[in-house]
This record gives sequence, C-alpha cells and structure tokens, in this order.
Amino acid sequence: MGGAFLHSPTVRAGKTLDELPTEDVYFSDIPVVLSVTRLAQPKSDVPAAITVIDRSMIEASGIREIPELMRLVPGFQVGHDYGDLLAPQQTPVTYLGYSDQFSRKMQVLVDGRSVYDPMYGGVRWSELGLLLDDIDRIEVIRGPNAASYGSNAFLGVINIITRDPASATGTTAGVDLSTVGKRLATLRQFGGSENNRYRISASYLEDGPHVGRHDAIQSQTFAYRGVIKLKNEDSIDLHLGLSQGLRQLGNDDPSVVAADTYPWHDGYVNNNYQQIKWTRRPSRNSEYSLQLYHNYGQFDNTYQAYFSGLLSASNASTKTNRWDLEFQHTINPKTEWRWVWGLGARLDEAWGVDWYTSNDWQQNYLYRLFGNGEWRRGEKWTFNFGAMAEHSTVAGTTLSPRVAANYHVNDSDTIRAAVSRGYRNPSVFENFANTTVYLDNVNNPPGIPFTYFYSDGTVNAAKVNNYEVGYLHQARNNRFTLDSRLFLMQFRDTIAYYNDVTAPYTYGNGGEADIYGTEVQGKYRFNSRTSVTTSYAYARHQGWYVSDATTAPATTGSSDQTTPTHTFSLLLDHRFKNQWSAGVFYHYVSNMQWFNGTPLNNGYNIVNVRLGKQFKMGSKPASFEIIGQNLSGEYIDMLNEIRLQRTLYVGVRIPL
Amino acid sequence: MAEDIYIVSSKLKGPHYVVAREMESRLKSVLPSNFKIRFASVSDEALRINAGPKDYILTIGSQAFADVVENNSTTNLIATLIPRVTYQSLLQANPRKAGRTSAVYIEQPVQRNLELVRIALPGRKPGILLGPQSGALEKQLHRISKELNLPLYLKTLKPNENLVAGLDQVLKNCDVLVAFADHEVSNPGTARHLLLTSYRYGIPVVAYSRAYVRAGALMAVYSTPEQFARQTTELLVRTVQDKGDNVPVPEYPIYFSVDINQNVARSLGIDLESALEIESRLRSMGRAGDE
Repeated sequence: MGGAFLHSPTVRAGKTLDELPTEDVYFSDIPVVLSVTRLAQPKSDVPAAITVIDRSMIEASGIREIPELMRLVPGFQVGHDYGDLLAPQQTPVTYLGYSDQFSRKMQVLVDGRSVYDPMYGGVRWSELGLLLDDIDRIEVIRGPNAASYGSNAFLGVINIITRDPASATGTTAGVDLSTVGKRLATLRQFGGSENNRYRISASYLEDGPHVGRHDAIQSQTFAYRGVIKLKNEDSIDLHLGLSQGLRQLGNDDPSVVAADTYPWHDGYVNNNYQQIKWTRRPSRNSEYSLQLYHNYGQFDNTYQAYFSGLLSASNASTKTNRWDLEFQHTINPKTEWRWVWGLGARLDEAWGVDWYTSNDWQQNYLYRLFGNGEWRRGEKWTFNFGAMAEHSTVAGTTLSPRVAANYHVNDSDTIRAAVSRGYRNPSVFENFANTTVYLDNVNNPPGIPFTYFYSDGTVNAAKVNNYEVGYLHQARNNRFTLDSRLFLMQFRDTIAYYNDVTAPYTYGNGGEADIYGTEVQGKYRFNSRTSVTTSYAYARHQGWYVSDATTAPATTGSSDQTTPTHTFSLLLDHRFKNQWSAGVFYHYVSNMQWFNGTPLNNGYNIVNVRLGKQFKMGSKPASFEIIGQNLSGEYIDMLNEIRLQRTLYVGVRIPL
Repeated sequence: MAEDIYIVSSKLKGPHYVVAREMESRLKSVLPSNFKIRFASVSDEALRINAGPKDYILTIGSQAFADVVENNSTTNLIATLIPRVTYQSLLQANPRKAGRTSAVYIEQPVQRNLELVRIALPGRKPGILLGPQSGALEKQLHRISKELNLPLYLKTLKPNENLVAGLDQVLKNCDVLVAFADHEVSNPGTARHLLLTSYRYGIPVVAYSRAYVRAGALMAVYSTPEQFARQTTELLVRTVQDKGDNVPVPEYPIYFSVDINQNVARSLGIDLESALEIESRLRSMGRAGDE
C-alpha cells in the first residue's frame, strides 16, 4: 500500500465534536474486573449448604439486632441471656441448638476477620462496633467447614460482609427508637476519590433494660473502612473500629440478703480492632492476599457479692487480644481447576486476675496450613476436596479434611454429597481456667480461697464428623430456588464443665451427640415487587454429657433437649409502587432447652410486621420505617428471666 | 474518466487502520480500474482535498468526518465508525451543497440488543440506566419495548443525580442490565463500578464491546472492524453503481458478532448456548435496524 493515511489533525472542527459522542468508547480497552479468581463459585458448584441474607431480607424482616438476623437461616436459634459473673449480657447464636450462652461452636467473621471471643468463645455482638445499616449481606454456611475456615467453624460459619466504600456516596443520619428502651443515633458517610474510597460510621446507643432486670447498656462506636485501589486491580482494604460503653450488671437488688447474690452494679466494655488486607491480582487467573488483624477486648467488672453467705470482693475484669496473619493464594491454571491454598498464624491471649489466679496473660498460639481444590469434570460433575492442618500450643495438631461431589442433573437441578471432619480447639479459658474467689475477704482478708472453674490444661480438641446429601433447584428464569439437605453430625469429645474433685466446674472432654435431620430453604419471586422466603429445619438429637465426675461411674445427663425438633421462618417482602414497602416475618422454634437455660416447653413464636417509605430530600434518598415486633406477644427464647416484649420500633434516615 | 476515492481516517492505528486496509483491498477488487483509491498525505493542507461531485471521500471515525464535512461541501461523502447522533449533528451544522452523503453507524440498532436479551436470557426483565443527554435513545427504547412486547425498567439520570444511587435503583428492579455506550453512564471509566456492582447484585450485564465482555460483562453484540469494512464497501459500491441520484439511506451495522464470557455465566448460574448459536438465532430475527 502506498502513501499514508490522512490523519486528521486534532484541531477541533468547530465546537460541536466536543459535545458529541465518538466511536472511541466502542474500541477502548477495559481492564479485566471480574477475573476468574474474583468470580464466586456458582451455587450449583458449592460443596456446602449456604444461606445468603441480603439487604432486602434484612429490611423486610423488621429485625434490628444483628444476631437476631440469623433467625432467617434454616435451623438457627438465637437466645437472650442475662449477664453473669463471667461476662455481660450475651445474645448467643447457634445452629441446631447444643449450646450454652457462649455458643462456642460457631465461627463468625466480619469481612474475613474472626470476631469470636478468644476467652470464652461466642461473639460479643454488642461490642463489635458494627451497625446494621453497614451490613451488605450475611453468608452463612450450615455445617462444619473447618477445611476452609479453621477450627471453630464447627457447627457453621457466619460471614458478615459490610458495604463496600465504593457502593454509595454522601452522609446519612439516622435515629431509631423503640418502646423497650432503645435509643440509637447513627451518622454514616461514604466518600473519597476514585481510587481511594472510605466509609465511616459513628453511633450512640442506649438500650434496655429488659422487664424486671438491671441490664441496660450504653454504647458509643466508631468504624472506618477504606479501599485503596492500586494499579492492575490490586487493592488494600483497611478496617478500624472501636466500641465502648456501660453495661448494667447483676441479678439482685443490693438490699437483698441471701446466701448467694450478684448485686446490681455497673461494668464497662472497651473494644477495638484493626485489619489490613492487601490483595494482588497479577493476572486474570491468579490472586494473592495477605491479611493482618488485631482484636482487643476489655471488660471492667469489680463487685462485692455474697457467696455462701460470706461477703466477698471480686475483680472479674478481663482483657483479650487476638492477632492473626494469613497469606492466601488462588489460582485457576485451567478452566476446570481452581486451587486455593494458604497459611496463617494466630495468637489468642486472655488476662483476668480472678479467672486465672495470675497476673500473666494466658496464651495459645495456633498455626495453620490449608488448601482446597475444585475440579470441574465435564458438564456434569464438580468435585471439591480440601483440608486444614492446625497446630495449637495447647491442644496439639489436628487435620480437618472435606470431600464433596456435585452432580449437575440438568440446568436447574444439582445433587450434592459431602463428608467432612472439624475440630474445635479449647478456648483460652477452657484450657487455662483456674478461677479463685476469696470468700469473706471483705471482713476477714485475705479470705478463704475457693476454686470454682478449673482446667488442668489437658483438654483435647472436640471433634465433629459431618455427612450430608443435598439437592438444589434453581429455576431457569431465577424466580424460584430451593435448597435442601439431609445431614448427620457426630460430635465426639465435646468440651464441657462438670463437677469434679478440683472444682465444681472443671473442664474436660465429657460428652457426645449425634444430631441428624433435614433442612430446606426456598425463595419464590412472584414478580419484581413481591417475594417470599422460607426456611425449615427438622432435627433429632441423641447425646449425653458428664455432669458429675466425682461419682463412679460419672453422672451423665441427656443433651437431647438442647436441639429443637422444628425451626421455621417465613418472610414476605412486597414493594408498592410509590416507594412504600411492607414486610412480614414469622419465626417458630419448638421446645428446647439451652445448657444452663430454662426448659422452653412450648417453644416460641415471633411475628414482625414492617412498613417503610422511601422519599427524597432535595435529590438525595431518605426513608422511615415503623415496625411492630413480637406482635404475637411476649416470648422467652432461653431464660425465664429475660422476656422479650411486644415492641413498637421506629427508624428514620435522612441525608445531610 | 478517473474517479477518486479518498480514504480519511481519524487514527493511524487500531480498528480504524484495520477498516481502512480492509476497505482498500475490497474496493480494489470490486471497482473498475478507472477508480483511483487515494490516501491523502498527512498534512493540514491535505484537508482541502480537491474532490468534486464525481469523487468520493470515505471517512473513518468521527474526527475525520468532522474535518471533511467542514472543508468540503460538494463531494460524495460516506462516513463510517461514527455514532448516529454525531453524524446527524455535524451534517446539520455543515449542510452539503452537492453530492450524496451516507453513513454506516457504529452502534448496533437498539432492537438487536433487546432481541439478544430475549433470545439468550428469556424471562429476564432488562434494566437500562441512561445519562441526562440520552433523550433520543430513551424514546427509541420505549417504542421498541412496546413493539417487542418486552417490558423494561428504564431510568434516565437527571443532571445532578448520582450515578451510584441511580444504578442501585435499576439493579433492584431488573434481571439483566443492558449497557448502551453512553458517555455519562456506561463508558470504560465507569465499567469497573458497573461490573462490580451488578455482580454483587447477581445481575448479568449485556454490553456493547468485546473488551467489556472480557472485563466481565456476560455478553455483547458488536461489529468487528472487518465487518464494518465489508458493509461500508458494499454501501460505497452501491452508491457508485447507482447512476441516478438516489441517496443511499444511512445504515446500522448489518454484520455482527456475539461474544460471551463463560466464566461469568457459570458464576451467575446462567446457562447459555454457545455464542455462535445465539448469533445465528439473532441473525434470523430480521434485517438490521431502522432509520
């Protein structure tokens, strides 16, 4: 070809081409955003039973306490506990029962950071510094998943994912009020530049007390999340937060005289966390990440109480730290293969003068190595196999493997089978407990030492074997999904405390249980405005636990009643045309009894009805809602002493 | 009598270059030898090509058309790789005194995008977010929605309205997001946010270029430079061979391809036929768009 083209100079042809579209947009290169490693496994390939609670479900349910949201997951129960000597008031969340107020068998993460309390286990929900409005969705895995999430992913995993800083802009102020004493003020802001987005939230809360109790709380929180985008889709995700406030404690009016009292007094909590995750995406098929986080928890609690008729002063304060470092690598060498592997190290430590009869920090180091492979063989089969090896300085080495096979019958239907094993390492307290109270130390110091919690440090990890078969149906037009499974979980070497020579509450491996049953969750979307979601679990439990090891043979009790036979939820969500929306939520749990709990012989029912409206202030979105909670009447979900009332709840959000 | 065909391109490389080369070789084999194909030399003066009413200037790209239409009002002029709105606006601002003028637009006919959604993703309601300047496209979409009996969720951002909030609203009300090349909403700068947000909602994106599909859109219908070259050559040849003064009507792309991102399809649990099957079904749906 001769000559060259005539290349039009960049002199503008008049003003008009400036304002007109050109062809460039059709030919521009766009960097790969949804790379293979970023894409989630399709539901039909997932080797486990998963429930996703999204924002529209949260909104429609009328539930405004984060732990109570888990009532939307098949087989989950939530309880309300009064604070006791060990900890302030808890809201334990468990799956298929088998728990006390500390729910130690559930792993809970917020944006990949474990918020499980290192000392007693369980989650201090009111100390997380997490606002309901900041939650984007909650992904729950039902059943053990230690192969991916480590020990403590024993009964299940709850992963709370907060809203991406890039997902909104602007500032919103909110006020929530309820007829049972809740006053919440929130201020949230999304902002930043294209490559550096942030979200900050601050709140002030007063809540409670429950009827007839001295358990009000007051709390201030602050949280920051920032996402810094580096070149080539690399990024840094930074999280910081703190939460502190007053906790009213105690069971008895101070004027009460009795042999054993826990008089009313005030305690304080003070928590903070920091988390940084660096992700590098060197190519479409691979991704590395390095994450470091730290959680600090502090509970100040000193009081005087009567133990066996003797006035005793106690310092029941505690502090905990968790440090965790993890490296993870994901690769997709070919379309049919995906590998994830990684390693990590963690330090869990706890301090509590009374609890450990020591001023030293009690420490547990944990090291882990894990890997999971996904193999897609042809159009019909997907196999997953993985394992996590963990070494803990208190409980030795454990290996948690998982194998699963998914068979895609056709476009809509998948059958899944999985076998896995998980271990739960003892918490710091379960391993190092040595709690001494000095009776009569107020009037006759130093008092008579009395040890009531004790562990000789030989507690082994608890074990669970899980077998399940699942069936998933997803209609082609996405209107209907059904997910069901049949399962058997065998718990062995359950960690519990029982009366023993050394102390009335001595930790050991004293219990076993088989829990089996079936669950189903379904969602039907009538049209773009109306949907109904339902979940149901049927479970049977055969188990025992040691209550007294001083007898020969040891005295045991049945744990069958800790698992409810039926757990059911129904959620109706309807959006009207003019920005009104309505939601109805119904929840039923049949008779059960938590460990240390009241027998709930008739189970309990919860009904919430919500009405909400979105409107504009200027050009920005605003909303208000009015919710009738517990409309079917007062109920008890764990203890006779904590009765949940019929409540009117109102919330307003306005842009600033 | 020698007739000259000048090819003027906005750019010296990339798709524009491919179109130019393709057209050159096709024209050489189709046109009689009394036609001379020239590429004017690279200089400002070359803008004043000495072309008359018997000659033809072919512009590749918006900038090339803008320059030529301002400097020559008498020759026959065929534009390609140009959006319809740009072609019509520039033509209106620079009325021709003689010669025939036509174009092959860069964008697919709106109908084709919606038919693609209907064929590949039956039962899914399309959602569309447009910028404040897209009034004409909005009207077209409403009309075609009625003709195809395909309900849409359509939102046009007001001048100060926030893109993030507008996109959220559309995603909450649709089952598939159809992205039209729109400078305020669906340009490569916003592609990242659009793809990540739609994915988070579990909503697939139907876009307008192969690059977008590679980046994470579920699929797109688009025309390649070779396909533009073929169609523009045919248009030019028809114009040349038409001894009367009939003005050929500007055309939307007739030849097109469909691309699919199978990884995204799998991740979203969407089962699709192969790109080739969808392409052939789309082709059998009918002629290229309207004008």
